[in-house]
Amino acid sequence: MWKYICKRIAVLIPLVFLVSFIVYALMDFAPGDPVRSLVGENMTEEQLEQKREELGFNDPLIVRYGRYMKGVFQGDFGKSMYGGKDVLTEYMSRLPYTLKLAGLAILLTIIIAIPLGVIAAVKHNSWIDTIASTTAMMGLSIPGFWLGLMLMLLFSLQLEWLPTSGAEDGIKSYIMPAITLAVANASLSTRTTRSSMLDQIRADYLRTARAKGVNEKTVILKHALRNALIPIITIIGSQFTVMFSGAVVVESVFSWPGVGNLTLTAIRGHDITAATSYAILTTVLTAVTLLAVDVLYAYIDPRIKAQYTGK
Amino acid sequence: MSMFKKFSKKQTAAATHDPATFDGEYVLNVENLNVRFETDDATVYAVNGIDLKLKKKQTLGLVGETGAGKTTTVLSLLNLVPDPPGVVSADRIEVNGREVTKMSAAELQTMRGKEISMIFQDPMTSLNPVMTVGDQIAESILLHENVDKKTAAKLAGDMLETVGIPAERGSEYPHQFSGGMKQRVVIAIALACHPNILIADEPTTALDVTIQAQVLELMNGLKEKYQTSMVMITHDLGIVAETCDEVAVMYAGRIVEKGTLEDVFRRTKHPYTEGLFNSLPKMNDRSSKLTPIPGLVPDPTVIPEGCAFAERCPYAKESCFTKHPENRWVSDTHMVVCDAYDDPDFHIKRGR
Repeated sequence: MWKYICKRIAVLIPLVFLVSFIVYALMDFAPGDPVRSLVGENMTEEQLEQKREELGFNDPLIVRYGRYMKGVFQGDFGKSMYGGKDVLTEYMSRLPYTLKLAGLAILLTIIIAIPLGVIAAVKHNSWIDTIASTTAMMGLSIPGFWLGLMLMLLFSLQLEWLPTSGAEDGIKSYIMPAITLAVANASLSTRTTRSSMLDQIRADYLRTARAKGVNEKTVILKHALRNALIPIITIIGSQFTVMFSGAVVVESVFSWPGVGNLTLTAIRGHDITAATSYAILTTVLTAVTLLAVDVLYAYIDPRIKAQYTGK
Repeated sequence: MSMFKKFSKKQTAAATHDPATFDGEYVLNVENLNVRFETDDATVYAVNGIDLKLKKKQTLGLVGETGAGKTTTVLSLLNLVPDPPGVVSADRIEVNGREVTKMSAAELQTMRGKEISMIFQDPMTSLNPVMTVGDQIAESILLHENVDKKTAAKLAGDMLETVGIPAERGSEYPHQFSGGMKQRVVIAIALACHPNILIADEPTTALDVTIQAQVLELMNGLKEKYQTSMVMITHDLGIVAETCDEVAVMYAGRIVEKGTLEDVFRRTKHPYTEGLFNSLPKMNDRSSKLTPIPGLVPDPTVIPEGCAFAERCPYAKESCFTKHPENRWVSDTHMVVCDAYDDPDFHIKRGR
């Protein structure tokens, strides 16, 4: 098992190179002049050139990238072009907001999706199933930014219960962003739970359990659900990773001080170093989460564990 | 969660029924059992008016082709026919003298595994892949015996030893076992609480021949050891000859002939039974071709007007297609459902 984990972590190194190079190069090729946007319009061409030389922008791409990566592997993720803040410190100060929001959204997803999906599967083709499936369909179809704005309109502007944006109001500020994120996630997870449970619900081993005298609740929750968990965890795990970076839309709708918004600002400002560093950090975080999901598989399904350990 | 309400009653709430005190003649008594499956497209008539009786310590063989309704028949004894789409009706389904159809969910759960249990056909899919085999055996013991987890685990280990698997392998998962070993585990689960009735649904069909013999021998031994009555479902007449006291031959959801092993094997009456015997390979003439029964099993969505076997029957008369055959007792123990015996001189060829 440890061997497997080490192998997976080793794979991270080429992955970091790949991701960072792509982001670095793309940022460099993007139209616009980062130096000009940094120093402003009212500078002469000579002053600009001097600034470029000073910041090292005149070296070839590969040299600049190499210099940057050397720093990264020494733990120096560079400084932001604007204000000169340390990128890593900045990222780490924003990360808790993103993680807390993602965690809350995932918690909501699990609380809603798993019971609903299980009930829909057990009562297959009943009215509960129809309602659950239709609601899930709807939840998936609603765009996140629209739902966020509508919630804001109702709860912030009309009812004035919740703050419109930011994270300054404690738990109250988490409610709307978390719900917005959870709606789409829970919808997809409900559908996954339902179909995964349906695959198991006529399985022979459930009949064996019933023939033993196991009650229906245990048959469903202990025998069937555990076998149905792998696809469910896959979906929920990937939703979690998506929220590290992909909650950008929701983060910007709610002006959330998370890493999604931070990355977005760096990209908009043509801040190559910061954007690449954020991409690397998000990559590592995503890979580690996915690894955790894969390790979780092994605890749920001994057959997968056997594959990992090669037994 | 209201969906579980009717099941969530404590199992101990059900009156405990000790099968050992049951002193009726028949441990199983089924009269006029009908099971149909209602789907949107069609209604499948799986079992059509079956009577079954099983005496203590006897083994009844239930023989017939795939789709004859054998498994459905025995599943209704445990009230395990999936509903929907299954609809079960019967004048009587008694297990150890108690009516199954009137039992509460809790009573059924106390009965299953303790009084009557079942060995399933396919050991590859009958075990939960994510539970250790020891836990799967112990689960049954924990439900029915008043013991703690540790004792249950120990008893599960003993049970594994009984079926010829070292107890320490109880901590392994089903995928670490071969097919024959898995079937031994399934048998261990079924026998864990020493039920007095055991249903074996084609227990050896999925196994290769050498393992078949081992498993049958094991089952016969355990049946003796625990004084179990048994229903053996199979389409292998050789297994019937080895294990059964009585035989019932099923065709299209009906019993067409039943009697003692001698009655059915030596004094075969029904043309379908004859066809089954004729289709066996001939041991003394290995080059001869097999003699299959011509035609196919009838469409189970249609209840035939006359005898269900008439279309494939070499002796069928015109009246066979229009009139349901009657039950005829040719001796105290031997029943055949065939109207050809209206003619007192009729006899089947049964040329082996």
